[in-house]
Amino acid sequence: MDSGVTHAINLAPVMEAQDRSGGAWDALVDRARVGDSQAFDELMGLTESRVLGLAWRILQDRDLARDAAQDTFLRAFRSLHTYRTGEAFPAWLCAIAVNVCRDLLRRRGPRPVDLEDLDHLPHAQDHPSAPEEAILRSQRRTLVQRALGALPEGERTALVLRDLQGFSTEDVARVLGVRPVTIRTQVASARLKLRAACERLIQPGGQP
Amino acid sequence: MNAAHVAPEDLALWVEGDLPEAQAAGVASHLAACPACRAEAEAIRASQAWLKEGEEPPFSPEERTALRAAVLLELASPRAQAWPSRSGWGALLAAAALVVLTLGLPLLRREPARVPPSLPAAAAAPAPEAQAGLNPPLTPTTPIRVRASRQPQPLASAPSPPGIRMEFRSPDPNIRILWLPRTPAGAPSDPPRTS
Repeated sequence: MDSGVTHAINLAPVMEAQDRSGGAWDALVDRARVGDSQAFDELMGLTESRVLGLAWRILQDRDLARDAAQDTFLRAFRSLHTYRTGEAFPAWLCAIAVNVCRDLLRRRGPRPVDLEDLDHLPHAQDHPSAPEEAILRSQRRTLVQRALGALPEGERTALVLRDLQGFSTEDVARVLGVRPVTIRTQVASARLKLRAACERLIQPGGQP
Repeated sequence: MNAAHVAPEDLALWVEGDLPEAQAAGVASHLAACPACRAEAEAIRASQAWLKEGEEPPFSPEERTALRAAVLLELASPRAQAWPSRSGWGALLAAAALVVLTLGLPLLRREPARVPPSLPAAAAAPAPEAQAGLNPPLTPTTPIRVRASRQPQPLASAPSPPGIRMEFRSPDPNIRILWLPRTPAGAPSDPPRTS
């Protein structure tokens, strides 16, 4: 099957934040701990894309994701004393974000996802000036997003952290507090379910 | 799929390089000779590409700025945390308040709680501000939001009708931030009373 797509997702800010040396994170955390508000603002600026993206993909809801990001930073600030020097700050922060998202999911309850609903895809008549390929890509993104939303929460979170957030399997295991073998199992299952959904919803050329 | 083929789970791990080196080499060797497994691997690879093609999270730079400002505003509350030193918070708090007022109000004005009212109180505990009029004490596990409320006012045609105020509630009951638009010179601040 020819994917016919390029990887449009911009991981540059994420990777930039991930590649900062542990010392740079530690220095900012140390400054924030002793009351340097600029340092905490800088920590938020460096990680907000990652936190918002993670929350949005886990929660599948824009407004809830914004709430989750705000709660994540507030919890992170109050937990700065638990951050250990040398620890990967993005992973530490994402662990908090995942917990916040899970709290919100528990409160919201399950939300059914209708994978087969093709009536609410972006259509050309809604975007008359957009090239056909852009419309197709937008439809494909919507379908894939729905397929992601239909995954069990644990598998979705593992997949998002591993494949979209760029964490290693071991880091995902640390973030979620499970063994790496569990992550591998969840990620493999999620990828196969996603592949099955894509096979059903998207033609081999990439057309929904 | 018979036992001679690679397990789908292993293919799903192989396409993203998640198999141990020796096992990955075995899979690669099998794929070279097995069109069925190769096709399956390509299908997984395609769906992975579509997953990564997914759209950027839909948050504008203004929303991100407002998010950070709202967090800083909360943290600057006297009871929000225990900074050893508060030096430097004044200027940042002022900047955060300004950002929230100018950028964040449309984002923060919505109702944040989407919890069904039938949920048990314990399950809904992280949204205490949903209980109107309550300003619960701040605890380390209490999520807080800066919320703007707009007093019910009749619609008016003027861009900044008198009588509108925006109120930020903080977890500290003693701290409320009110924003009152400046009224034009000579304009009454209250509707004319009739007797």
